[in-house]
Amino acid sequence: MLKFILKRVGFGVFTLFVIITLTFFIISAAPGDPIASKAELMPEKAQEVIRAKYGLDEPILTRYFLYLKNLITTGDFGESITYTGRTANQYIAKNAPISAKIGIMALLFQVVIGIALGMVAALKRGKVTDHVIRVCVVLAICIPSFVFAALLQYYIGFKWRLVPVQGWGKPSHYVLPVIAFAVGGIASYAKYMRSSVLSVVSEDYIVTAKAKGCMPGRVARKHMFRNSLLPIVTMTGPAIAGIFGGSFILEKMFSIPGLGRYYIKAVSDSDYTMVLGLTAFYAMLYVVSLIVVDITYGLVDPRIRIGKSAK
Amino acid sequence: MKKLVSLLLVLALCLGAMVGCGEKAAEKTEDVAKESTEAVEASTDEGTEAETEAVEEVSYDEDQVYRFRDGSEVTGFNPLLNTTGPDNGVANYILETLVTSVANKDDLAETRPAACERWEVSDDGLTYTFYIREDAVWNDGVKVTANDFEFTYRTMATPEVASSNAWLFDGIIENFGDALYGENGVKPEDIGVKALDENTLEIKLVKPYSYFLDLLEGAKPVREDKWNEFGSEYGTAPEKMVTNGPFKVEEWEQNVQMVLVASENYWNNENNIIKRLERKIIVDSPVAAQSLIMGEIDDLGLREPELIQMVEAEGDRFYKVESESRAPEFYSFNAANKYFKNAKIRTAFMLGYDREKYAEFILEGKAKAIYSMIPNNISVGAELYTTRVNGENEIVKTLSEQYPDPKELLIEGLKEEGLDPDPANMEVKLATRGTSEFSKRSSEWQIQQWKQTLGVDVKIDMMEWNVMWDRVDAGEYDIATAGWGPYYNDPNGLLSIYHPVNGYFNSDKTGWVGEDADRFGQLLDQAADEPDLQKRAELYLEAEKILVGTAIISPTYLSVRPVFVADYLKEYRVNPHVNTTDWTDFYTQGRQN
Repeated sequence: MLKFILKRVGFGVFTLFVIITLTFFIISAAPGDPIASKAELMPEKAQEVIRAKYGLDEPILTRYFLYLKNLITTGDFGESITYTGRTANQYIAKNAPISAKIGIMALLFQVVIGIALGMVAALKRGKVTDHVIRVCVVLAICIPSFVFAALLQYYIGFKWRLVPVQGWGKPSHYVLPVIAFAVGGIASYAKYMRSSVLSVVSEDYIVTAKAKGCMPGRVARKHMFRNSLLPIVTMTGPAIAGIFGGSFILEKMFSIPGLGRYYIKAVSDSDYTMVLGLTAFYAMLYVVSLIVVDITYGLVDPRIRIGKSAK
Repeated sequence: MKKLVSLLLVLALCLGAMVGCGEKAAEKTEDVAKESTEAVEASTDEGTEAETEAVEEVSYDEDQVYRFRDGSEVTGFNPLLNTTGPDNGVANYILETLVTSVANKDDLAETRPAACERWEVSDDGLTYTFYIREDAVWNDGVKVTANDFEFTYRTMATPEVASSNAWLFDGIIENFGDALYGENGVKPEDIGVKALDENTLEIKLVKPYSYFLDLLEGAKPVREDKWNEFGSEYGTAPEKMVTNGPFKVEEWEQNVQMVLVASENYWNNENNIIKRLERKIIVDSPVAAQSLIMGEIDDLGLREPELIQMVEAEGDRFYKVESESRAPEFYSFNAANKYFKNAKIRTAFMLGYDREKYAEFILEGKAKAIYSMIPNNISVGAELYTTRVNGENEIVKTLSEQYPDPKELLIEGLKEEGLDPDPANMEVKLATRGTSEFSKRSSEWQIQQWKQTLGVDVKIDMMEWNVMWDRVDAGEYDIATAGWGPYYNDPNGLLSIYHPVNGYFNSDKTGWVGEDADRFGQLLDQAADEPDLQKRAELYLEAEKILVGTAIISPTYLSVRPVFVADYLKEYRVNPHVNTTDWTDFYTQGRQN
């Protein structure tokens, strides 16, 4: 098991290195100039003075190696060009938890409600409940989350004045964003859970259990549930990584100081260091989550665990 | 199954609990509202009594708070490095430079002493002497001295600092440009800014620029000891700086809200009425409009018609103020292009569309058509430019009368250049300054107009604003959708950008060379040296007759934005030339939220 983990971690580090390199060269090649956003319309001579400070007048390979050197020796993603005097690390440390809070709550809703709805739909297959759930699922998947967000803001916030329309700091600020974030995910989890349960229902051991006189509830809990979970685990892993990123659009609409907004602003400002820092952060999270998913498979399904250690 | 149902119920209850929090807050505001309505009614009764005594009694609200929105967060509080629009807005609250400009009771921009108590200008207009106030102090109690300003300017002129506003003073203050670009061995200590003593600051200019005072707000002060203490982290957080303005930052939740409170040490704090500012970040306009109606913010400028309707439906709760921009929107022709090197062709394109219709259809009346590069609200000295030149600056109108058929003019121009005289065979591209709905609509309308009037099939080249400016820099465009906001209240702020040698749109970018371009540059240089304001205005007119007269640019419109203001905000003024509010005047009365 240890060897397995080490191998995956090593591979993960290599992946990270490739991602950082690719991102560096892609964003350097993209049109747009970090200096342009600084004082909007500055004469060329003055721009050069600022470029020199951030080393932007050096050839691209020199900048790349300088950047790598700085990253490896200090673990610092570099000083942001737009947010002078601060590094991407500081922004990640400050704002990732905020995105995470909303993300985790939304994820909990998504997983719990999604799994529940999926199982109900599968067990009541063909009946009215199933049809209702399936229609809702399709709607929730097709309609973009920001449309939901706008509707929620308008009716619950603005018309009925139940919660504030935007902002951050009080528990009431969580309500609309969490619902908006959760809707799409609930639908996805419900859909996958339903199909997974349906494929399990026709398995031999389910028929055996019923034949042996097991109560339907016990059959559902003990046998169907755990066996249907595998696809859900696959989805949840990267989703956990995603919650730190936050949805940019929803963060923008609800004025939530999450990481997603900084990412988009950094890209449109061509703030190289911020873009690289945040990209590396997401990449790292994603890689870690995939490793965790692998390990979790082993926990959920003993066959996989035995299969691995047998090697 | 039962467990699942109970889990769902628990979650639903949790949601309900949070909704409850919101409800309680709503109830609370209602009670407060009842209290203050009674208070307002009481004061109105007193008011009528007071009126008969012929004494004006203004009943101020007890808590003088102003809540407003900004769509973007500041990038920091360092006045030398953080100079984007939002940064400048906040810098105006927390920092104060030598003078300030506010809108007076007649809604005209007025320059008033701020950190200084008075200033003197020499007869030749080259030396300014500022006398710093005795009672001006920083928020930590230390006195504001002339040395602080001397240090600020010297730091700006230091190349390694890479100050983003430094270029404003290049060619304005003696030796500033040389020090900044490290030329001729000039050091930052050699620039024409000297603290003669603790309270006297002397600034020497290169030429008698009458708008020099307008430029001063680009150099908000820092103090040497704190600058050295915090180094590159100066201004990255409210604790890492000193401020000398009317407000100081009490709370900063990035991308959510900034709370500023009146600074007790500020020299004029007693006369300032508003004691607290709440600056909320709301990015989306529809959400901002909802916030306005819900009472979360007190004022809002809007562009979208459906949102304007929504606010207007609230009736008397909000009144409307029109905010006229001082930044003209215009088309810029590439004079190196095979068509646009000919003045007749350019003029034909300039005359080939109806500006009034543009303002009406595309901007739904939120704009004013302009016929001159210089908006009507720009002054030369104390008088409006357009008054000084008797409205002769509306050059586009004059040319329309002279050439009633732009298509004919176009064909003449094509023949002159030896090109195919059929306009339908021309290949021209219009570069947009964005990819939004607005950019699409306006550019499509524009090419339709040119097709109708001139018979030319212009193609739209859609791109983001920063990409367009990159193309302009590289000279890779036919027609660009340009616009420019002057940094100070003087025609030079707009005309100088096309100076063929040192303008932002110099000959390399515009391809404008030859006699006309040289003469234009000469006129601007002459005007810069001319201390007589009337003569100066006339020189600007001559220059405009070349720039707009030969259609190097085609002025189109000026945006006019409605701003909705809550009825309890009083003495609210919008003027494009001021840098801050007159806090001794502005107040709230009758706020219920």
